[in-house]
Amino acid sequence: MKNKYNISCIGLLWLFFCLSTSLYAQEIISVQGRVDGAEGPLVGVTVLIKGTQSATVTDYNGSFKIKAPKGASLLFEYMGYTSQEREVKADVLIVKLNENTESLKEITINTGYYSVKERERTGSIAKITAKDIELSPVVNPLQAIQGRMAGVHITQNTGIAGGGFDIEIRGRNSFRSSGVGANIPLYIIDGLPISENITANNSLLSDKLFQNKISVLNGINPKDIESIEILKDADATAIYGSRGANGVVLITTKKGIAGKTRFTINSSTSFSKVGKFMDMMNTQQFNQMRDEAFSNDGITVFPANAYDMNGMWDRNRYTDWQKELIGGTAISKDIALGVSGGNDFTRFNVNLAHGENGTVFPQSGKGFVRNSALINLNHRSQDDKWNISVMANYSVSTNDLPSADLTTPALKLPPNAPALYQPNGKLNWQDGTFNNPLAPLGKTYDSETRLLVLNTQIGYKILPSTSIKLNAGVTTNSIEDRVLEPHTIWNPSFNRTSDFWSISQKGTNNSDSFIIEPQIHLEKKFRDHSLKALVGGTFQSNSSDLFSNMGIGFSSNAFITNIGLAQMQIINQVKGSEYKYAALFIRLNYAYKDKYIVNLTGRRDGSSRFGDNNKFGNFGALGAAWIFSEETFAKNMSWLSFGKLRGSYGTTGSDNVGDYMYLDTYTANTDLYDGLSGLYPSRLFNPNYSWEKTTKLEMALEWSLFKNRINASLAWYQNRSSNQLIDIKLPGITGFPSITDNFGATIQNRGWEFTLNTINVRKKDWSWTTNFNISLPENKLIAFAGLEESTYKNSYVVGKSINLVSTYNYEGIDLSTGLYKFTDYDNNNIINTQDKKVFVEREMKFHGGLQNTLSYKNFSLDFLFQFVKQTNFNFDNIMTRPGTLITNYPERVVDRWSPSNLEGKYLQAHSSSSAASNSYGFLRESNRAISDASFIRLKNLSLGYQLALPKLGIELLNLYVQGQNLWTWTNYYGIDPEFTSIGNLPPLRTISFGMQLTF
Amino acid sequence: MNNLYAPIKKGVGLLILSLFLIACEDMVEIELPDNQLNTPAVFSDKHTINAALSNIYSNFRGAFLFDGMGDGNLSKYTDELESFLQEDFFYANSLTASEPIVSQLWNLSYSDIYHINAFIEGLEASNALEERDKKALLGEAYFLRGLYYHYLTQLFGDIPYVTTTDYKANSRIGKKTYLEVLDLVEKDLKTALESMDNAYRHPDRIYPNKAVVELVLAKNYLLQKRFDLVEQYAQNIIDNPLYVLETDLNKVFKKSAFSTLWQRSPYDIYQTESNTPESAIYNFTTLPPTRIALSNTQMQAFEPNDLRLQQWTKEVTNGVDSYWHVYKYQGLFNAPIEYSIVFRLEEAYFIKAEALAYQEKVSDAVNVLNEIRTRRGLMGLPTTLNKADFITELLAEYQREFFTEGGHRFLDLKRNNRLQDLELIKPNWETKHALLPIPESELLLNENLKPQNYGY
Repeated sequence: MKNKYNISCIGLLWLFFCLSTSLYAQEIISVQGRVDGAEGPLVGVTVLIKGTQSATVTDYNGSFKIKAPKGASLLFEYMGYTSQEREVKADVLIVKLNENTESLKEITINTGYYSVKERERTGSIAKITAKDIELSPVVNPLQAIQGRMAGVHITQNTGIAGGGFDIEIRGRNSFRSSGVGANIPLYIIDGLPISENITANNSLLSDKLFQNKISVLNGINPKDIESIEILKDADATAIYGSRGANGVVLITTKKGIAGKTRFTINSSTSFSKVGKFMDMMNTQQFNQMRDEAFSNDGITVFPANAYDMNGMWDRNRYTDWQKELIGGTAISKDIALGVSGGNDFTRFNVNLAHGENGTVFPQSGKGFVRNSALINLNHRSQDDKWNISVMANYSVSTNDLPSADLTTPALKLPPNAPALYQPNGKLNWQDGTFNNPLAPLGKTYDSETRLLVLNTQIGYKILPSTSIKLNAGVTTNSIEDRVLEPHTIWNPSFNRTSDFWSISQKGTNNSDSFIIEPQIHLEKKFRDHSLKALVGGTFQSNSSDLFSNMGIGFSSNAFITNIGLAQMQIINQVKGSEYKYAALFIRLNYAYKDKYIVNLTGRRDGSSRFGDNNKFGNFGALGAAWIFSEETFAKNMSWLSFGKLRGSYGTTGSDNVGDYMYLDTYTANTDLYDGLSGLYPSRLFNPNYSWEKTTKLEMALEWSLFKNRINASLAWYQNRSSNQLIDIKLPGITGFPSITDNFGATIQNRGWEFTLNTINVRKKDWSWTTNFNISLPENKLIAFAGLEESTYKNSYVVGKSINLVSTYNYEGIDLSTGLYKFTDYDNNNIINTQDKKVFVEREMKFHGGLQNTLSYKNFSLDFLFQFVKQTNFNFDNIMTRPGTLITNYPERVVDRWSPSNLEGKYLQAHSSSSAASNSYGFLRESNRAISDASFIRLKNLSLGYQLALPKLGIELLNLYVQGQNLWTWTNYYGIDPEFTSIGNLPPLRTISFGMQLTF
Repeated sequence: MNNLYAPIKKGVGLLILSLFLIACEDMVEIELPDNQLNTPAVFSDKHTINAALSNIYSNFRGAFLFDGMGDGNLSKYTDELESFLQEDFFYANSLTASEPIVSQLWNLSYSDIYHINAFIEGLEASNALEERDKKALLGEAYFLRGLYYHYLTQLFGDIPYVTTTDYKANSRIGKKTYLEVLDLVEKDLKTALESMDNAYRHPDRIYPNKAVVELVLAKNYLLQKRFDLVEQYAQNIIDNPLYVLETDLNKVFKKSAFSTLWQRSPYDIYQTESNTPESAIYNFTTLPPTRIALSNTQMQAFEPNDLRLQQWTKEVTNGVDSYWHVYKYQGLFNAPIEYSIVFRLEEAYFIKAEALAYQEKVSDAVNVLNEIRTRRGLMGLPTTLNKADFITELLAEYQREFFTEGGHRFLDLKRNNRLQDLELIKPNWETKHALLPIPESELLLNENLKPQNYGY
């Protein structure tokens, strides 16, 4: 029926079409000119031919050149200045822009399916642009966001390039432990969703290095990004329905600008090191601990394995193992070549980049290398009816590393451990007594990741008010990784040979996604009313294949890369999975007098991740804004340049549970018995779970003062996630650790976000702007039906954060036993789980950033401080009984309790004492192991010098020095306060030198 | 005109496509992944039923419950092995309830039991096999379930006896007492006994037969102190013509030994060099040892002319120091001629002797034990021994015969109330070490598992 209706419209459409074809017959002329501000020429002003997408920017002298039809209007836009429209009459045009008014409010914000002007938006969206991203010498775009956006908290999992990140947008929404798809937002690159979820993109063999978490955005060159928008509240995310619960990250790549064909060369070299080592015990302190350990245990005849005491080792050696093992300088080189240009109708941008990132480990592989190509092509038909853009981003990233992080051995090795090498240059095993930390470096990890993102958007204007659009694309992400383990990594005393002990493993994970999204956009304006509507549909299909095989035993290590030559070949895992998703979405936006705005969005989603009765779900949101500065009462307040009150309420969801979880199946086991393959039950059967829902409420005030020199926003939000879809923990007696089901608990994430942007100075020669953001999140479990009877009784408390740890209450050291004392709540003289009564929140009180941008003549200086107020696990959380040979400890452990040092914080050393070991076991789980982990970090510093050399044809030469993670102020007891896993390499301090040449 | 019309057609085409897409609800249907099979389908075919059982055997092979908790751990826990690792909870007797190996042992065992229960439920409801075959396979499953609990209850004491796959009930399930568990094990083993054959399914004896069930049943009666039944079932095995005591000690741990009741089909990866995991764990060639060696106590337990000392241990010396390693599995063969043995005939003699002694028939017991002793190059014991001395001799004999086999020594000492002997040898030994702690994580998840075992 509907189809017929549409066909009958054709006649009507055709009529409009004919009417609109005769508009083009003007003379095209070349216009040159200059744009001045109050105090001289303005650089970087956008000059746009109105009604087109043809534009240029002013060069270093404020000059521009553009071809435009006579009579057309040129629009001059520059941030912080009033835009101006000028008709093209003559071929020379001098424009003077006036400072401020409106300014930031005119920026267009991309919300995915549609875009809005900053002033008119009803949702909560944070944005950063290329200008800020380019300041950071980083590999992954997420690193460039850290500290720059309110409500967004990003944790880098490892300092090794090519690893993963945890991202939380407005707190933890889910009981799922982070990293297993817990809080991963939806990433969208130029309209294409890139899945970073449980089932796809997992590398198979990187568990030791990256815990198998590898960020999918490693395949995107940060310098190819024009802007990143993060959608936070219901109004902005509900149109993404089931996938928007954890927020949406929209990445827009750089598009070409019409005009001259521009070449850009960017080259930089970076030097990265571990910013700060932990203070560990030196040889003297270590030996003192060992002597004390044996004398405490009354041992005078040292056992065979006390190599330092019985003379097998020289106990007076000293090596700074941190310096030796993770103290290197990782050198990174980046080079990129870009070409962009085009004309009124067709624009292009091509950027090719090559980057290499070394490691801080000794004699390791090449590190992370990425080659990427971005091609953007935008075409507009002469009649302005067709609008086509094509984006292709392809990158090949390789990582060549030792298979394990050396940070743990660097911290643990005793300071008097033997030398790494024998005088003859061979690895030193000290007669088989020393597990040489460099030996595992022989076991290598390498990976090759190919990410292809290919997208097309075709738009067609049926009527001036109506257009249809088709967004379609494919993404392919394949990871191939390999672990090579030659027999030489083993202690030679084991007498292992390559025939059996050389092992080669290879894993492949191919994941493909295909999406098609037809849409209809309507835009109507009559008098004071303006109506925008959008109806669209999505069909998405993902498939992924996992395959891994292993070869054991090679006649020589020379063959180890070829599994086909192994004595035994084993196929470990063959697994395919499929995910399909279909949806219908809608947006209605109504504005009255551009003052009162109502925005309604909704989505109906279907996902293959649910059983037959639960495949579909509905989501929606209502947002509204009132621009009160437009009201008459505000017009008199000359200090108020802009004021808006906005709010939104709605629901979003999550289907991030992994595929097939509702099926009752058996899975093939590749571990053969008697040559027969096995079948085992895949999971506990539960077909009844359905979508989890997050209800989001937000109120915000945005205002600008003194001709937009001060721009501020204050937002309050409250997100409530219920019907949580998680793997509910079960006791091991049930046969499985968990079952996938909806969970009767509600988590609330509530908080305040404040942003402030001030233009402090804007003079001819110098300017100074400041950006500040702070977020105060609060996480709380507000309801949990049946908590007392559930398996979570000892994990969560209603009214407290879900980042909760139940701990023993630390009281000090017991003088009579010399052991730690903890509160014995049940008074039975035994400390056990019944006494784990103190619940400690690992909480984030606030986090934020302060950025200052200064420029003086040709110089520009930008620096960003990131600050976080939080508590986290400290080193006591991994503390073991001091006194053994295998582990060195922080220098603080020198402060051991003894009758002469009653204030000591650690127990006396013992060579073997189960009582002391147990006591440390309780300490690790006590409230002493959680403490302040707040820090202030000079996250980024960038100093640049820009000049133009017109005679050489050089439009812009930018020389810069950039630094990342330069300085950290913290009282944290551990290697780095930013992240949680103490055995991982911390984020590195980087200094980068580079230049950018545009001609 | 055509040119102008064309784009509109395209536009309408897009519109139609969009409407078409939205209409299709079956666009979110997906197919089963390649490596999964629907549960009803598994139990409707002979081959897939066998595959489900095969998985249970591969679980069994990997289960360190039957292997002295893996890596010689239970042997280090007692006095058979000396550890050279820098921090060793078993060797130092400092295991706590939160140590991951404890929860691994617990969780993996119950996961394996789930697989068995799911197999029993699936097969009971299936008509795909002939009644006889169905009963035989079910018998094996019941036997394996009994076997898991037989070991679990010796290590953990009171435990839940899970026999269904209902996670709702099982997640709240309470414990059965040690004696109740033994009764339930007896019931499962009896069910198995009824339906299993004396003939082996496979010539390599890699699946249990009726005699294996009888042995475990006898071992279980030993725990229940029903010594007459122990005697009866042990005798059945001794009389069974399938089994002969090997006179050449070098043959006992070979795949083709006639003394073997049940052995594990080898892992693919162990077939080429070390044959069995045991030889990879215990053997070393240079000094000082980096992991484990036989302890002084164990070495002193041997008399110099004991053939087991000569054949089943091996000295490694550098001229100054000497250490011995277990040499039951030699692991030097390029073809798989050694299989990891679960039960062997000798045990039937030992438990028969033990049962006789507890029935006050000490002289008969001595005669049974002497059958083993004489084959090991030792003099027979005098039949005049009193019961207490005999038990001491028996335990020493167990130690010499079964060292580092499936945590034998710990279980033997425990069954005979002699764990306190270890206090003289192990500085950290306490009464509480008779049981392992219930994993702390489990106690937190299921209140009904409380109380924690004494002392933890």
